[in-house]
Amino acid sequence: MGTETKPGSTVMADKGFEALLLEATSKDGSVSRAALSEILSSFYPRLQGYLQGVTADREAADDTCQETMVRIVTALPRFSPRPGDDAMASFQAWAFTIANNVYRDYLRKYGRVTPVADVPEQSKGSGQAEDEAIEDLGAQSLLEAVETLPPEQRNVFLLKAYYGYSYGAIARIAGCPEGTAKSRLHHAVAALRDELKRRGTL
Amino acid sequence: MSRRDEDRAFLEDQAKIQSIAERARDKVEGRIRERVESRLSMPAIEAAIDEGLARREALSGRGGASLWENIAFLAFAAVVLAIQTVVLLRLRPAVFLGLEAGLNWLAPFVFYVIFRLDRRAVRRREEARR
Repeated sequence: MGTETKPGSTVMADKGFEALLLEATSKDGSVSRAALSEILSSFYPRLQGYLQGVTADREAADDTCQETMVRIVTALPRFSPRPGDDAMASFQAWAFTIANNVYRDYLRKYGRVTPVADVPEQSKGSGQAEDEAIEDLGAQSLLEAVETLPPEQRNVFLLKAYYGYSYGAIARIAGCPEGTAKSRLHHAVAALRDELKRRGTL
Repeated sequence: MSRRDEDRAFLEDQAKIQSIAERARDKVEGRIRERVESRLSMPAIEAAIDEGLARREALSGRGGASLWENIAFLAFAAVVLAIQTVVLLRLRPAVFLGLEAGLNWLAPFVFYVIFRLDRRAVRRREEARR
């Protein structure tokens, strides 16, 4: 289910992620803010999107994403890509692990997040907007269905279906055994299948 | 429907869900990317960098001791050892051991005072930086 995906930007493509990472992690104290900003801006949509999916709440996602970015900046000098892995993919998995820890801390502090429906974007007021809306109906349906899953299943589903991680990587990021990740995904897919059939999307 | 057909139907639906999920991900990330490109999210990113660098500095910034602090510590250790040697030579062993035991009781209190003073210094440094 899915193949691993990566974010990116033009500056990142020009300079290379590893060069940016080197600038941002210098241990002699001379940190390049521009490099840090570039890395965070490139990963922000992915992180925020992931946390919106995991928390199913925009406000909680904003809070946890902010804290995740702070922890990324703090811990960046200690980051080293997994041997044999692509630096960017390694960084993304590391960032998701931090995001998971932040979300766990958030739950400990504030209890379970109650999903709140996202405020719909303002209509573009054209036929094109309607077409897009119809096209997006399935995606919107899935987003709503995912919110009904228990947080643990939601997390595993997002990591697998959105980002294409292997079960081993999911287990590392979510901090659970591989078998548990597999069974959570199976339950999540079964529940989503029922929900999407009920909504007429499948 | 046989078990095999059920499994096949499940896998087909799983593939469909996968493709919808990729669209959903792109939709969500696209919306957020627009905010980043219009620089609406930049204050949050800049604030995260500031806070992260401040935390990094606070963690490393106790910063190990300076050269003078190291020299002062070695000098202090030399003085203490010299006093102990003199006292050991001058006093009887039983009195010396009694004195050492008494001083050891004082150690936790001395450490506590050093800890408080150090914390106060760190706090003052943080306030000055802010």
